[in-house]
Amino acid sequence: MVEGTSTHEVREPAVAKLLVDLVMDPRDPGYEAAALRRGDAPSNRWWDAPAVALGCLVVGFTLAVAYAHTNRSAPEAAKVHAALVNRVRSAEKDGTSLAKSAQSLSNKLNAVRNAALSDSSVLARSLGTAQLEAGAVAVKGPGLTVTLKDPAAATSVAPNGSRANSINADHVITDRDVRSVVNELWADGAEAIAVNGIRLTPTSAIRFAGDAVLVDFQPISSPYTIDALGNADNLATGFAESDVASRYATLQSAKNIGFSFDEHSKLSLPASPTVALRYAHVRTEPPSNHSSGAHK
Amino acid sequence: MIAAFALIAGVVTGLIFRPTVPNWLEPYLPIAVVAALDAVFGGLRARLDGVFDAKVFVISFVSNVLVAALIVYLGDKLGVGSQLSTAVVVVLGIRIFGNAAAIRRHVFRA
Amino acid sequence: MSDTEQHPAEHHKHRHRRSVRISAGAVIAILTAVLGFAIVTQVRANSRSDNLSNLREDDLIGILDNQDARADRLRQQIAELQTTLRRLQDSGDRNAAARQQAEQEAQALAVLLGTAPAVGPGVIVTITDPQLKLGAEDLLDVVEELRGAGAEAIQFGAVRVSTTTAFTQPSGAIAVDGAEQSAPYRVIAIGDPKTLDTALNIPGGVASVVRSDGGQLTVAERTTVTISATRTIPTPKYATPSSH
Repeated sequence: MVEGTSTHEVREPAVAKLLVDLVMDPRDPGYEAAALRRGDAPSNRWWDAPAVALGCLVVGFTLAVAYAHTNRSAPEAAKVHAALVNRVRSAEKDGTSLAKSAQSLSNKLNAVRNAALSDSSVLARSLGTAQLEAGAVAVKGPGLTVTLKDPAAATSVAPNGSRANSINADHVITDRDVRSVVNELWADGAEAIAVNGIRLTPTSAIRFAGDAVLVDFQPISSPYTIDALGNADNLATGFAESDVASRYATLQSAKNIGFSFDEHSKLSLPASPTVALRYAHVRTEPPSNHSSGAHK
Repeated sequence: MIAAFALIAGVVTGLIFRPTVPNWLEPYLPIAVVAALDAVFGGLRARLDGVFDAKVFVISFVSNVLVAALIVYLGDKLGVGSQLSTAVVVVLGIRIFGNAAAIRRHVFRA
Repeated sequence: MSDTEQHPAEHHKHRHRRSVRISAGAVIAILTAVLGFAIVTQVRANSRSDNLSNLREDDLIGILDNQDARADRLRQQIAELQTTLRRLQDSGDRNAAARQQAEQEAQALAVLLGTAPAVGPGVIVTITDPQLKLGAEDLLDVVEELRGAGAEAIQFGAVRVSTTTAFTQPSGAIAVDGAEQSAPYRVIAIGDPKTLDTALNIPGGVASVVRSDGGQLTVAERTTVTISATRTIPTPKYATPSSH
């Protein structure tokens, strides 16, 4: 028993010493030993300076070669690709700032107009309602948030050690999925919907370009957050009972996509600029037989 | 000072000539780089500590590179090449940080 | 007493030490704040990382074209808004000018939202479904494709399509906003006829989907189509405008 503990004690410090040595940054024992051997006299062998010079030369050479090699191995295509990605990103940023100024201008116009319209409040009110439904004004209220998330994309390690996301990353969630959820939410009584912060308008389309989902021409990526304003309980019940919800619940267990929906008492949806009409205009002559479509 | 000039000369030479690194040498490039950095930092620290020795400097660099390359080569043959390469880089990296800290203590007394 | 002699010197040293402690503390506070900020920024950047770098070059160019088109539209819109605002502000009778502008915008919104009948160039799309294989989502695809191609007003069967229009299939037949539809389906859209036609007929698009389900999608371009179906906008009960 006593021997057991003593051998255990002897073994442990050796392992601990290794780790301690690694972390305690002691001096290189080579230099220490050489210094001890030398004593206090400075060494003056003939090959001292040239050796140092040669050593440093080789070190510098190695570093430069490694740098040149690493940067040359990034082929031209990757550089062009990176430049293109940057262009798209800056175009996106420009688009966002343009949209912001358009929105603030629109708000200002509304404010000035409403101030001047004080005695035609009926017109102002119906205009306000129309603007709300068309997505031209920001809104807030209770509602439901549905989230769809792609399964974690597989990353591969290329031979030269750089990590690269496979180009055909698992984009299981497509525009059709986002569309189905949005469609179901409208059917359940949503009054306004925004996808990843982009408000849906009468002319908003949810489409696919290559690998990215586009909402109103703006690319968005997973996770897809769909905010719907309306009666939170009705939305939640209606959505939970829908085929769409059961489809994604199944996909969640089968393909490991992320799918969830939560009620919120206060959602804020931004506005989207309204498209200016270029082809359609109101039909002015009284119609012979006026059929009104079903409304919610 | 000769050391500094030689270092710069080496860098310039490497950038001017840009020799193509053959494929079989490529996996050993990171090890060589880290060993080179370790040699530079170790030498600088030894210089500041007053124990610098030219022989130790050259030999330590060369042997570090060769031994590390040998370890990685054997590891490649045994199937643990990338892991051993990582281990080498980690250990040398720790030594670089240790030496850098010691240099910092000398220079900034902090 | 040595105390009173030592006192001022100690007091000075004490003050100096305190000021050093305060300045060191301030530096530490600033560095920690920077660290916190960096962590938050990094976490946010990682979670928000877009997948643009995964896309192929053609897709990126496509997105770039879309972005440029959107930017052009927005710039045009900003110019129009600025003109309208200036006209309103410069007008002598603000009330009348405001009323006129409000009416104009109300008319434009009426077309977009479907509260007024509309007329203009466009297409008439006929979709046959002899094998009854098409689902609500396929017809929704047609509408989305039309919207993406710039349709400003759409009528499906006898129903005016708008933002909140939903395609459901509660029991066998496809319903648009609750109104049941039956094949062959007729869709009228106002926009640029050529663009609408092309969008529906792109390879792999809705036309081929309908065809693979045994149906047929035909697009007839027209210089004038009339959309007579209208709807009423329900007053929003839960959404309220938020001041930005």
